[in-house]
Amino acid sequence: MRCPAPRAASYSVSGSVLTIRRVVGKLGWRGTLRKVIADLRLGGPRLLLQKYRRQHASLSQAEACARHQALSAPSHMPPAHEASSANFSHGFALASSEFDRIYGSWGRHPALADLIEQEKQPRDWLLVVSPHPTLGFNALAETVHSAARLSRGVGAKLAVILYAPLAMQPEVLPRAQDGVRLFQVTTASDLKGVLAQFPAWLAHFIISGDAFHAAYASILTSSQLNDCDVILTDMFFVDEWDKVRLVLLPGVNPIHALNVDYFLSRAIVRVSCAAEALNGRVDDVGELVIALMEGTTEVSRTKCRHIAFPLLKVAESAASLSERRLRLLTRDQPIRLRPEESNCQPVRRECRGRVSVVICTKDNGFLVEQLVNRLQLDAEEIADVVVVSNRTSNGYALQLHERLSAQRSVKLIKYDEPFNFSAQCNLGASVGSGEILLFLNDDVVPVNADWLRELVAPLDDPKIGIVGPLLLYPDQSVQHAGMFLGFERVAGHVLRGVRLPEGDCGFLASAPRQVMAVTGAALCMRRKDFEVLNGFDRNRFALTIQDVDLCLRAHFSGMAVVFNPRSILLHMESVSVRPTLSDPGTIRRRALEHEAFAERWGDVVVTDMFHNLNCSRSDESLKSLEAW
Amino acid sequence: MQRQHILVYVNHTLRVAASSGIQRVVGKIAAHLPEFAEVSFVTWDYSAGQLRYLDARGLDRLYGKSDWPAGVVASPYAHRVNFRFGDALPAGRPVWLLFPEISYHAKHGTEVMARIISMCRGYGVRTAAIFYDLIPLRHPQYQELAARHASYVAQLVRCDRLFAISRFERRSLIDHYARALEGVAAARLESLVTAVLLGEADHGHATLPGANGEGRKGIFLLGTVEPRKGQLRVIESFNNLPSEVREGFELDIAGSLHPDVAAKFERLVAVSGRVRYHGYVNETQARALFERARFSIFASEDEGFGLPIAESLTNGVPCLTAKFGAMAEVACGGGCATVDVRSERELSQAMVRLMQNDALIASLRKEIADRPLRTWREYAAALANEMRTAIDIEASLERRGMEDVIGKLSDTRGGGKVISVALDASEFRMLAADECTSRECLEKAVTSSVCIVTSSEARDALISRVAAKDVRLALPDILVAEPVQGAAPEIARLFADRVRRQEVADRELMLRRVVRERPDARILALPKLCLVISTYNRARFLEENVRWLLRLLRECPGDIRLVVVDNASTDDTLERLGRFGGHARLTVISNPVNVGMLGNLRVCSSLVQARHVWMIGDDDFIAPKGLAAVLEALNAHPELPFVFVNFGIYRRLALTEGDTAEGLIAERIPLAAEPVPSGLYPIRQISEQHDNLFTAFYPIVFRSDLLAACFDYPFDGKPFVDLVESVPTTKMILETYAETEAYWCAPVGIVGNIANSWSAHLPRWHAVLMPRVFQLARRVGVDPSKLWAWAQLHRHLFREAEQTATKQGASLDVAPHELEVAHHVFQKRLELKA
Repeated sequence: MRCPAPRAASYSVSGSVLTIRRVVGKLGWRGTLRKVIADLRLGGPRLLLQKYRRQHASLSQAEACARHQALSAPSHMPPAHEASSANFSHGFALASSEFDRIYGSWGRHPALADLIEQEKQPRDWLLVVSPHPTLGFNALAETVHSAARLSRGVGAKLAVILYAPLAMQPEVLPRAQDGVRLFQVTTASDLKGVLAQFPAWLAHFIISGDAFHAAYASILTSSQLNDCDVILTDMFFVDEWDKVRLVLLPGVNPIHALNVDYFLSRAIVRVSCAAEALNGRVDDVGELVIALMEGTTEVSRTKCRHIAFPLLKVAESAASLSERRLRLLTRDQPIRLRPEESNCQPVRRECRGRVSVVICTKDNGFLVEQLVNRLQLDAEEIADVVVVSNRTSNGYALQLHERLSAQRSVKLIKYDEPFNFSAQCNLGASVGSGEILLFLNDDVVPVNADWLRELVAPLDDPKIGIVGPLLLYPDQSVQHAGMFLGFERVAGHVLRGVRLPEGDCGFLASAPRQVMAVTGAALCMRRKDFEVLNGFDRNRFALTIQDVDLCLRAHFSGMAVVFNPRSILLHMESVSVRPTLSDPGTIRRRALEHEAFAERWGDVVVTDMFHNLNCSRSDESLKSLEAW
Repeated sequence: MQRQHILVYVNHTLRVAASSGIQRVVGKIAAHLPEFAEVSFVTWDYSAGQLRYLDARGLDRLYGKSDWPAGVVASPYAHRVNFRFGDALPAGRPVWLLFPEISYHAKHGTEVMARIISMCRGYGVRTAAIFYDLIPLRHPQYQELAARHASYVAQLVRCDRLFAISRFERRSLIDHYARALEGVAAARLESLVTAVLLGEADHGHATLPGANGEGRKGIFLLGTVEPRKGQLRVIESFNNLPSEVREGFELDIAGSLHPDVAAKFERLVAVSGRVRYHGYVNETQARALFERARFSIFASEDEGFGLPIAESLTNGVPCLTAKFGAMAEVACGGGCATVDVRSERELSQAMVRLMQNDALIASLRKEIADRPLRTWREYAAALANEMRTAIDIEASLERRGMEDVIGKLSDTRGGGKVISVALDASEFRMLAADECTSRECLEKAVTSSVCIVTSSEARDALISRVAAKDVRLALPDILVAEPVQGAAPEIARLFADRVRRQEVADRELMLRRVVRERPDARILALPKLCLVISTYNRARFLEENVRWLLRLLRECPGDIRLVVVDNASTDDTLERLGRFGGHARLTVISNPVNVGMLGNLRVCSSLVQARHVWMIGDDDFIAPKGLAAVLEALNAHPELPFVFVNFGIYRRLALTEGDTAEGLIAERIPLAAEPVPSGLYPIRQISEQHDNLFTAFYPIVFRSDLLAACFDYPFDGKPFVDLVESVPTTKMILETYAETEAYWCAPVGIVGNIANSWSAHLPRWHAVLMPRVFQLARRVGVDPSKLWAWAQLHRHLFREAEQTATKQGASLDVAPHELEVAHHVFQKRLELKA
């Protein structure tokens, strides 16, 4: 039931008129205009710059939100959006000069701020290099050379382990350089043996052909990483058009890692931990990192760290990432929630009769009918469908409710108080009998046949408290792929408006992952967890953002919130509440609810451990970089 | 034995990243207490106005980089909403709440502490605090802290147990209270305050220096550099020593620098050339400085304990310290040289001895080696033990007394004999009443505290006989038990409740006396009084009320404010309030969501606006004399728990054009027509003034902590289903505070509108809820003859309400089984018409 706050897609094009609604970051009007023109590659048409914000300065946030909603409905997606998405298809693409401008001087970048210390104490450096599948021996030599240069610069000792299944001939190995110790291993046990010689070091797992940003030195000289067991860093590569593509990771995210190698098998791990993990059956970098991440889903008790700065230039290509994304969409591998679950063992979880579906509605008779009919197909999994009707007055809706109340599997509850989405959901939950609660807006409809089974599956893991599916607009662009904190000082929908699979940078919408919040439009959780939290907060959030509040309360109570794109629904977002958005009383109450949210979570929403801090928090499509 | 549960309140430590001595104690408690009890950590949720468990984030902050000790988990209830904290407590075991911090270090700290104590009383949770010292009250140097500290120390008297960190401070606190209490409660104070000495070390023995210990040339002073700690005197003494004595020695000083001494300190350090100031140091750095020290000096004029002495001993370094106060206590275990550190001469002489006499240093080191150091683990164990013992003593006293009495009861069954248990000011009398038939025996039964009968038939018969003999007294609780021992748990509970009420009354009286003795001990940070109007969709009433009150406030001190809490009105409430826009004394708070009538009272009660709050409805009008009388009472008795104002009633469904506050006040019908004169009375007696029994909230001025405790419920049940969902005021005031002294204002001070919005609930009100109120009132000792008369009135009112409902075809909303209490109270069975 959230109102989509104005998106950072800050312009629209109609004919030859470009309307700029919002200044991006600190670029100012001129800078924004230049940026937009560059994006659109418009040449010559008459441009009209409308300073939307100034014109509408008197509008409250909620009013602006309501107006924006009318403007930004999926059917009005500007063609320019499509055009720009081609540029975006493999993540941020920057000219090398632009990359240098943004990441060339890193002293004040927030991701590195606490790592750069006055008294630099060089840390000894252990590189574990795996061979790139296609690059030749020169790539390996270049990598070692790059590392040697960096280590010399900061006075760190360097040891390099070549970890390849087949031993390389001595003549093709890189020449030993000053102070660099070189090892070659072919098995995990050999690797473990060599690692044992460096018990207190950090091992940097990379792939031949990778190279280091100069800022990598901060890792080698910072004492802040002394307690870390696993460190992931952002990366970049140069594409065939010489554009720099950023690989911005969504934090340290074990569930994501279990389902996709989102960190591209590059990681830094404490040798003592790595050796321990190698005692088990872990012999691949991805699995090793996953093993070390395990147990870190508990809030902030983490010895894992993500450095949101592109410190590593990786030997990857747009095509290779695209291929991985496509593979994920086939969903041929079962979802993994724990490291011990083998890739080969499909997990088919039973959810027969466990789910109570709660649908709050007013007058959307046709939509409710469509949804309830669709739910009939999942009758085996569903214990009951609870429809909570709030002051329904539409003739067809009333007629439908009468019909539904005659069905044994449907419970129709009337809530005749003023609209309070939280109270209605809580009431519906109290009436349902299933051990799992699924809250659905009346304007959603499932897409894939196994949507419910897939959605519920993660709840078999007791650490997981809430699950939300992938929601698409009817035009198939993303409405919701999990939420990130900070958008409009609350939360925004990840990748909103982008198309899949091209627009999915970082595999955010393609593989299950932990997030800080999911939308209440389709939110699934165990009844007992819902009851412990006492449900949605009916006293503070009647109209909006109760879903974000519930998810944050769950997250900080130690329940992981998981976005699961293996379950897909279409969402005609906020069709039902749109007419009320311009009501002055509603606008005032929404503002009060935002105040209440800020009071409770104001200090929390400034950071999101599962969202890359380089991505602008004012852009749900994740197409803008934060201006640091 | 049941394992006790301890809630540790870490509000300040959680919010402020610092490393004060108190936060160190909190850290040690957090590390070791979980070994000796189930422990949860709690903080204050300022927006919800109640306690809240720490979540994982909070626990991480508390423990820093250390792992949480075994048994510590993030509570699943850490982010529960719209609930009562007391409902999320572990069931079936004794629970304590421990305050290890000084309240006023946190925002609204002492006010919040007062609220927590009051709420804990409602939860049945005992409260304890670690008491550090009275230094701010003893030293003129801390004048600016004195008032805050005094109010904090005054609040402490409301706790169930206080654990002083040294014997010296225990005695200081007892003397401080005793002065105010004029020796009346000396014995109580001895058991209220116990000394639980702080830990001295992490391990039970010191780390002694190696062979060259005597060759060291460092003298180490650890602790904040401030006037009281005497570092300046030490430097001056050191500088004045003959140069041959000082030869090779250096003073190392570590600790934050207080601005009051900064200039002089820096000058002395610059002059000396042999003094090194290290600023604030962490534990590792301090250890390094101890490692080069021959001895340390802790020359404070006054301490609650003297942790730097313990740290010196832990590091195997002898300490020169004071021969008085808490420092002497720490020193007496060995390893210290003690002098009057206030004397520069004595200090210098002692320094010379320690600098020159290797044998003395060696002997002190030997004493250190020989003395066991009290560990922080032992400290935590001692705290847990003190709390456990307190519960055991209470339980065993109650159990022993009850078992004895019940034994006598079973011997005398059938004789109608009364067995009494003496309680401070009253008696708890029980009667086995099956055979009572004579009027004399029945009167005896009716005036006892509890009757015990063998069957429900016997109970009904007893009620019938009392009614038939026209005894005209309200009946006590009648317990059905066969054999009589079966009634023991219920009797024990009733008895314990009464003991508790007496205990609460004592504590409230002690608070008032302590504040009277030292007027700055009241919570000064808050205004004296705040008027709060709870409103929903009655814009005209509200507008008139706001106009009227703002007019009244013109005559009052400037810090008395008016707050309106609008419960999401949908009429023109906000527009009308807008007409007072910008009035300096008016604050309007709007709920985003309508939270129900009682829910809004909870919102009102959770605001921290003043020490006392007069919360009224939008159609309740305060009379000028009422406000003046209340202010006068609060001036005379600043920590009064309640002021009960005599009130009148009027009737208006809506405000007409000619209606004004003045007019409505004038047409009032007073509730207590012949009230006792204004003054202090036990609440039990005040309740006898009229039949309202505190069911109306608007004639009650609450101390803000009690108001918060009173409305500390989610109010999510069916309206009027029980006392909580209808009259939480009556429930709390009678259940907990019946014996407590409060102020009664005899003149009519406020008028209320009896054209209420809940008339649909009237049958239930008279037949179910008011009988429960009368039963509760009877249990807490309200005059049974008055209760009987009022009960008969409500029996008639029920009939009227029943007829009205029947005419209107409305439901009575009364289930037959709910009429049992009415039968007991009315002494007549109510038959519901079909």
